[in-house]
Amino acid sequence: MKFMVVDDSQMIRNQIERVLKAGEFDFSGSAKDGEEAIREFKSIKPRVVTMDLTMPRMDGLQAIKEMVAIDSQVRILVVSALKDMDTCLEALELGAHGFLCKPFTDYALIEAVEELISDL
Amino acid sequence: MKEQEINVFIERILEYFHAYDTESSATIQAPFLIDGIDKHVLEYTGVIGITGRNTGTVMFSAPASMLVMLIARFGETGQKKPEMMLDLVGEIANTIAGNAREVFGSKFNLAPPVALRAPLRGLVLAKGLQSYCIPIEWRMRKAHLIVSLT
Repeated sequence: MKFMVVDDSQMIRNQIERVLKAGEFDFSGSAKDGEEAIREFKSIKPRVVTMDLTMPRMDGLQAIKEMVAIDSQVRILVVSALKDMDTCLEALELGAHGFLCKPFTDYALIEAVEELISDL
Repeated sequence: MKEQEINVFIERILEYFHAYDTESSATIQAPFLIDGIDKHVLEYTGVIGITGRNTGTVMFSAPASMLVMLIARFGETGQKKPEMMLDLVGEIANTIAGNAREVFGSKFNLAPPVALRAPLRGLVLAKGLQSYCIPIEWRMRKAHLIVSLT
């Protein structure tokens, strides 16, 4: 199952990539902002996306909206420091399927992704 | 800023370090008011601009020696380059400020992080704001969280 990582931090992108590769997911690509994410998304066509929210150029909420418009079947896990209920609900309303707050442990990430794809 | 608001940031710092190190806790020394930034910034500083409910900045400033240890905890095994340290201080500042929205709500708006390396030029505290330096010690290294908000 192809996955893509979107985060403006290289450190976080590397962490997510390392953890999910160890979980035998098929890493397909990454992006450092929403605009790059949309370009990569169209080209890679991943099944699972982890999405940061606070990013330059295009934020994560806008990127979720555009990704879901391109492919309504995509599973998006928001991985963000924005720890408030309004933001979580807005992301879910836009089409995200899960929300993991930073900072997160490797175990919490695996658990959140497994929950995200449990019915596929 | 009220004491309870300072405590929100203190709790988030402690949670951050605990997430990456369950064996050795970070400790916080008494926050103090500052009127300038030069004496309190260390080698690498992440700055988050805040608008909305509050206006101002949240900054996390740390020495390379602390950041090298934290980067290793992210699973990075190679050489710890300055770009990685800049990335990390921005991410830590963003995480602590973002986590504070649990208490301050969604109108506590964060700008994307800006990361700087000492010596800092042109970075000043906004006039008229109360600015606090919160000292953090973790594994014998000291960092500062600087909170300057309406």
